[in-house]
Order: sequence, then structure tokens, then C-alpha cells
Amino acid sequence: MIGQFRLDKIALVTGLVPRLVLAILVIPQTHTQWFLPFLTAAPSHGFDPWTGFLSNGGQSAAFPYGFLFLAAFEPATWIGALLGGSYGAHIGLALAVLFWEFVLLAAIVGIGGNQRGAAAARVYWLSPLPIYVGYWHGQLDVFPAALLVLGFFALQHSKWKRSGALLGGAVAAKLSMAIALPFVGLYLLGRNRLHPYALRVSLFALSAISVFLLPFALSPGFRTMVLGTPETQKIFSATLQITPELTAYVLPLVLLALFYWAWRVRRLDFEMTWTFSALAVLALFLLTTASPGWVMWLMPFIALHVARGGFMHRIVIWVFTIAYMGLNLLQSTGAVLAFGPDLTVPFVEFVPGMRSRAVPIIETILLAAGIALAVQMSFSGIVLWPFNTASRKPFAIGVAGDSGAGKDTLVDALQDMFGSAATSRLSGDDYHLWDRQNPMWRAVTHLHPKANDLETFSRHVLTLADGHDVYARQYDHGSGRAGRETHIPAREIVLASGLHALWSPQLIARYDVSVFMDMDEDLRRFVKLWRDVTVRGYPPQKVVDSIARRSADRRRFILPQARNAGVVFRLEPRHPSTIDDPQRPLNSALLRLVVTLDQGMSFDEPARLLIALCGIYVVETPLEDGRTEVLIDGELTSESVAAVARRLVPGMMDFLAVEPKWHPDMTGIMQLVILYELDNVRRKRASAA
Amino acid sequence: MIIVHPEAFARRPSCVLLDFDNTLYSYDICNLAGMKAAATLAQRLLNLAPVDFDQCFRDARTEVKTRLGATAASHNRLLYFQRTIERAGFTSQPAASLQLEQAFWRAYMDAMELYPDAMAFLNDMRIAGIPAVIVTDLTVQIQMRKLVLLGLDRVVDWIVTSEEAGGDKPDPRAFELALAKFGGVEGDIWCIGDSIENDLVGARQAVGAITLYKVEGKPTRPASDAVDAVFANFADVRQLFASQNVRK
Repeated sequence: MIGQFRLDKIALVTGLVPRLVLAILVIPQTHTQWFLPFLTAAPSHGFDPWTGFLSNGGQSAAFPYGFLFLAAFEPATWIGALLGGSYGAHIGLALAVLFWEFVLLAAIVGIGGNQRGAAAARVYWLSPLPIYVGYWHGQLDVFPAALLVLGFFALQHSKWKRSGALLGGAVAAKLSMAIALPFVGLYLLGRNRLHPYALRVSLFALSAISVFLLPFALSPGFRTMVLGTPETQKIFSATLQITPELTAYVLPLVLLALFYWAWRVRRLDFEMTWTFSALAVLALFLLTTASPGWVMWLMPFIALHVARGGFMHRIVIWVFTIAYMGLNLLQSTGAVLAFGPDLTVPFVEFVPGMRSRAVPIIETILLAAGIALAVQMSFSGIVLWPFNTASRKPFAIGVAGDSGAGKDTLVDALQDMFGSAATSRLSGDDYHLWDRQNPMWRAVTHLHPKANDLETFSRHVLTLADGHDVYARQYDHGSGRAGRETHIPAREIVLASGLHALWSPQLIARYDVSVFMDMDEDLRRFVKLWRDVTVRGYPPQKVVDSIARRSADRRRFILPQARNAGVVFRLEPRHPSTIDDPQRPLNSALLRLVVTLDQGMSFDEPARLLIALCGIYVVETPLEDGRTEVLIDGELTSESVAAVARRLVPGMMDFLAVEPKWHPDMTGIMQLVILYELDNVRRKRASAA
Repeated sequence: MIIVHPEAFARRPSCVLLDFDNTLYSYDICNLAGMKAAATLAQRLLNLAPVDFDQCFRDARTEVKTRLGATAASHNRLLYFQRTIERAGFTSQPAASLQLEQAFWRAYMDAMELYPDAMAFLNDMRIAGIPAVIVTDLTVQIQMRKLVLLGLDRVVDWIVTSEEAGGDKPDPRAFELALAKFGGVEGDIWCIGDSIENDLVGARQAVGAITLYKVEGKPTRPASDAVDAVFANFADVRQLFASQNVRK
């Protein structure tokens, strides 16, 4: 849903009055010379207005646009012509421009959200640039800009098909809009969680381009006017003479550099994709002989950039605006005043020498302001952008605890939350030194560190946490044997679980969140018995004997790891009857959770939201050693967990699966606690950058 | 903002009574979200079409309100949903009623956002040492959850619900109890609310309050003489308060 306009009345009127005044009093030369002759004649030429127009002696530069432009501007122009002749047609065209400006404004507000969107809308609406372009110079570039921004808005809200169709439509309307598509492609392909949607966006984009562009390519007039427009050659207008024999095209070079940068960054979120697209459009504007209307493609990016920034952003934009206005008022065609003089001839024609001296000076200032703008955008939207600083290295989460304490349940829940495409998962079970049948197990238990290849486990976790793939064996609980090595790709979230996941000091230092799964001992026996017998198929007596045999090693090697954990989860039955029948599966709604947080870790905000949104029991108790113990009791649905997450950690939403699976009850609470801790890490990484 | 009686605002208030629902946040948006969630769940649980659910709910609410009169329980969504299900032809379904109520409040609260500058205004009161009291209908449990969710418990000093006072506004007991909670007050009392009859007339008659009418959209001069000022944005109320500081 597009956000509401949030322009206050004064701003709305301040921006609307000059637009309406110019629309009524001024007829741009572009209207009289190009657009109006074509648009008023188009209905009489049937399905191929381009060929019809040319065959009647029309100028080929009159309307270098395709079907979508025609559909966007023809109806209002036609109605205007019916009501008021050529002046009415001009008014109709100007009102159509105004309409598409409102569409663009709504899309800007939608992308920016409440506060930033409102500020960006004000920047756009009060800027003299769109007023000059739309109503004095009379360009129609607001339309493809609106389609492009709507496409981005749909992308931001995971409306994949709509986004593809709108982005494709923008390209079909104006080929230059394709400059943003490579970055959208990198956005979708750079993050595993978005891969499934890349095809959908591509298909709809290609369909839109095919439907709105290809059939018309059969028209000779369309080929001449639209595809043959000299504007397509502008991409090669700036060259760099490196040696007398070696020449490089500057714009393609810059675009390739941008693409390479975006590719090296690897993981783009929406804001970074938007910023890369902004930089590409800015490069196109600065490094070609840009038509005056092209600044409209930049306006949404400029507006949202200024809305985020401070004083320096505004200074640069003002310099850019003044230079652009000065340059175009001097050298671009103007307009005829409806009841007054003809001001269509560029002012530069009246002052000898101005073209050779003043114009290059202003162009230099414009280029300098544009470069400053690019630097600002790069820093605020890419280099220092929190998602970028936070995601340069994967988040690593370590989960230790005894067998049957709920490690796998927690890791499964975390994988459900982040999406399996975004997680690399390592299990300590895969690093047992011997197969189940090996006689060594008579001498040591699995809980003994020497029974596990902890060195390789640590190396693999650290390698994944460093962003590199690993090959690891996988233990088959059915056969009790280690399988072949499998490829584990490095992803955004590394989940390392195991009996000794918090044993190695290097691992403890690297984990962003370290968790120890404790459990009420009776509950743990119940869960282990139920899982090992029912799920893994072990004989019950063997499981009971195993628990007894392991108890010494448990105290010696497993429980001490709780001291290394930032978060300790302890599940308890609310009542002993919850676990009195070993045949009955555990009802997780009958458990309560005790969370112990390391010194300095706060739980205030989650506690308030859980109490308020979910109506459950949350009590915090400071412990003598400085840690905080939080008792959480109550039933909550997965929808409630989702609602808490949205309010608690809005900055983490980009790291979650597109459709995260939230768990009900205490597993859902654990998801929230870890997400909250990761959000703190994210903020820390951002501030460190 | 329209100041109907400028003389009423010559002095700073000594305390501020605030209505809650639809005065500090938009009730309609939240209620719509809650009803949508409840209707969706009713269709899943009871195969009740949304249009039938809406009709049964409207009838059930009217019936409950008529039967209970102006009491806190007359706003109880659980009662509404129980009667909705019964009116749809089912016997009482406690589990389904509870689920509908939970779905309603979860979606309702999920949509709650304070009006712009409302928190800043309450902070102004806190910094100026002026007690702010929420005087609201409905039951205390759900109102307290809403307050905590919006973080208002950190800026509001006291809360009075109709459940505690014994009757819905404009029952004077609610306003009298609000003042009694902090031992009474000397000086002007502001009452801010979205209902002329329940909030403003009630507060004026009960405690002689100066009344500020919160409206959506463009403020217009009200027909009622019980209104001293009309505003749409809390920024305007902040400005009014700041100008009083200057005069002081």
C-alpha cells in the first residue's frame, strides 16, 4: 500500500501554485514543437501513430517514446484538445504531468516511510527542478521516474510480480531506466533468501518489456522515432583519451565500476540497491550531454537522500539545483507566455561569449556538486549503511548444552526464522571421533572433549564465520556412522551447535551470540528418552544407562560451559505432571522459561513488549553475580511472537527470511531473545564502522 | 488549532486529564485491524463468512451495551465475541471466544502508533512537573497493556479506568477519582479528549476542566460551548503550552 501524502497545507500550496500558474500561463516550446503535434494527431493514426505521424510530415524527434508514454499522456491531452483546442491540449498535458508527479510523490513517501518519506516529499515538491522541467521546459520524464520508483516500492514490500512488471514497464517506457536493473538483479541474487523470487521478478520484467516494446518494434515509425532516437548514443558521449591510440568511454567505465563494487559487496539490502541505482542514474546524468528532463530521474533519489541527511546534504543539493537551473535557463529552450512574450530562445543566444565562458563554469560547478552528491550517497547509503557494516561478516551463533537439552530445537527455530537459504549449520555430533560401534565409547563418553574433533569443529566454525565455505562430515544417527564430507556454503548466519560449542576460547570470542541450553534435569531425561527412543530408534534401557554413565562428564565438561554463554535458556515444566507419562509427547505450552543474561545485557524492552502485546508473565531478577534472570511463563502464539519481533527489532527484518516462521510459546521467546541480542551486535558493528 | 475561549488558556494548567483511545492514537485503524484478524479467524474456526461475522458482531455489541449500560464490562471484547458466536447459531464456545479475543487484541495492538508529538507533549508535562492522568473507559487490564506497549507508563503519572471508577465517562466519578489520586489540585485542569459529550462535558461538569477537543483532519469551530479549543495535532498543543510558559 502506498503511504499517505504527508505534506502540510502550506507546503502543498507552495508547491502547487507555481505549477498551476506555469501550467496556465506558460506553453513550453517542447509542447508546441514536439509533444502536442504528435499527441493531438495520434488518435487519427490508429494503432501506429508513429508511422502515421512521420508519413504526414511530422518531426521524428516529436515523441521519442513508446506505447506507455502514449497511454500516460494521450487521454488528458485529447480531452483538453476537445475542450479547448491547442491551448486546452497543452493544459491537459500539463495536468497529466501533475498527475504523474502525485504518483511519484506517493511512491517516494511509500519508500521513505513516515518521517523520511514526508521529508522527502517536501524536498521534491518544493524543489524548483521538477517545476522547471515539467512546466517551463515541458518534459515528460516524470512518468518513467514514477514507474521506476513504484517498481522499487513494490520490491521493498516483497511484491515480486508487481515489482517486475513495473520495473519492466519503466524500461519499456524509457530504455535508460534499465540502468537500475543490474543492481536489482544483484539484490535478488546476492542473498540466498531472495533467490526464489529472482526468477519471478525477471519474468515479469521481461514480459512487461516484451508486451510494451517488442510488438511496436514492427512499426517503421516506432523504430525511427523511438528506437532510433539519437539519445541512445549519449552513453558514448564522454570519452577518456588515455593514449593517442587508446580511448575509453567514461560512462560505461563508471557503470561497470559501480556494478563491480555492488557485486563485491555481495549482500545488498533494499537501501543499498536503491543507492547503487541512484549512483548509476547520477553517473548517467553527469557523464552525458543530459537532456534537461533527465534530472527528473534523479529527483526521487535526491529527495530521499536529502531527507535522510543533514546540513551538508542540503548545501550540496542547493548548489546542484542552482547550477542546474542556471545552466538550463541559459542554454535550453524556454516557453511562450500565454498572454505575453516569446521566451523560447535560450538566453545564451542573446549574450555573446557566454556560451564559451559562463556555461563551462556552471557546468563545472554542476559536475562538482554531482560528484559531492555521489560521495555523500555512497557513504550514507553504502559504506556506512548499517546493513552493510553489520553484514560484512556473518553473524555467528553458538549453542551448547547437554544431549536432549533442546539445542537442535533451538537451531531449527533459528533456521526457520532466518531461512535455510541464509544459514550455515554445523552440528557437534558430526565431529565425534568414532562411529557408534567403536569400542572406544566404552572408555569415554561423547561428553568428553577428547572424544570429539573439536579442533576441526572450531576451524570449520571460524572459517564459515569468516565468510568461506567448508566441507564437513555428517553423522547419521540411524546407522551411527559418519557420512561423506558435504559442502557447507558460507552464509549470513552461522549456527554452530554441539555438546562443546562453547568449549574453545577462540569460538567463544568469535560468537556474536553464545547460548547455553540448560534444562530441568527431570525434563531433560524425559525429552532425551522420548527423542532417542521414538525419533532415533534407540532401545529405552540403553538410553537410561547412557544418561547415568554420562552424568559425571556432564558435570565436568558440559555444565561449566554455561559460564561462557551470554544467554542461558533453562526450560522447566510448570508442573511435574507435565512429564509424568513417558508415552505422552511433551506439550511445549506447559513449559516455562528462565533466561539468564550476562552482566550488562538488558531485557527491559522485550519484557515490556511481551507483557503488553502477549499478556504473559515476565519477571526480571538481578542476580548477585551481576547477571539477570528472567522468568517467562505463559502461552503465546506464533503471530504474537511475530508482532513482538516487528516492534522490538525492526532493524533486523532484512536479515530474516522473506516469510520467517515464528514458533509459539517458549521456542518463540528464544527466537526473540536471540534476535534481540543480534540486533545489539548489529548496532555495535554499525557504530564501530 | 482553534482557540474558542482564549481567556481559558491565560495560565498554565496544574494538571492534565487525557482520554486514551482515539485521543492519543487512532482507534479506527487499530479496531479495523483487530476486526479483520477476528473475522479471518472466525472463518477458519467456525466457517463463519466475514460479512455474517460483522453483522453478528454488530448485533452482539449493541445487545451487550444495552444490557450492561455505561460500565467497563460493556466494552469487553470477550463478551462481544461470545455473543457473536451465539448469535451466529452456535452454543457458547469458550475456546473460540478466547481465541477471537486474543486475535483481536493482538492485531489491534500491533497496529497501535501514538499520534505524532503526543509523546513529546506528555514529556513536556513531565518536565514541567504537571501531573498527567489518563482517564479512560474499558477494563484496566487491556488499557494497562496498551499503555505499556506505547511506553506511556513512563510519562503518565496516574491512570483511571471506568472499571476502577465504577462507570463510563461522563460519569463524574472517573474525573473525581483522577484528581483524588494525587490529593487534588489547585489551578487550571486541562482535559483532552475526542468525545465532546463523554470527555469534555463530563470533565467540565465534574471538575471544571478547560477542554481541548482532539479531532481528525481540519479543526472546525464546534457548536458546543463546552469546548475551549479544537486541535488536530499535538504539536499545536505543545505550542500553546510553550506560549504559556513565555507568558508565565
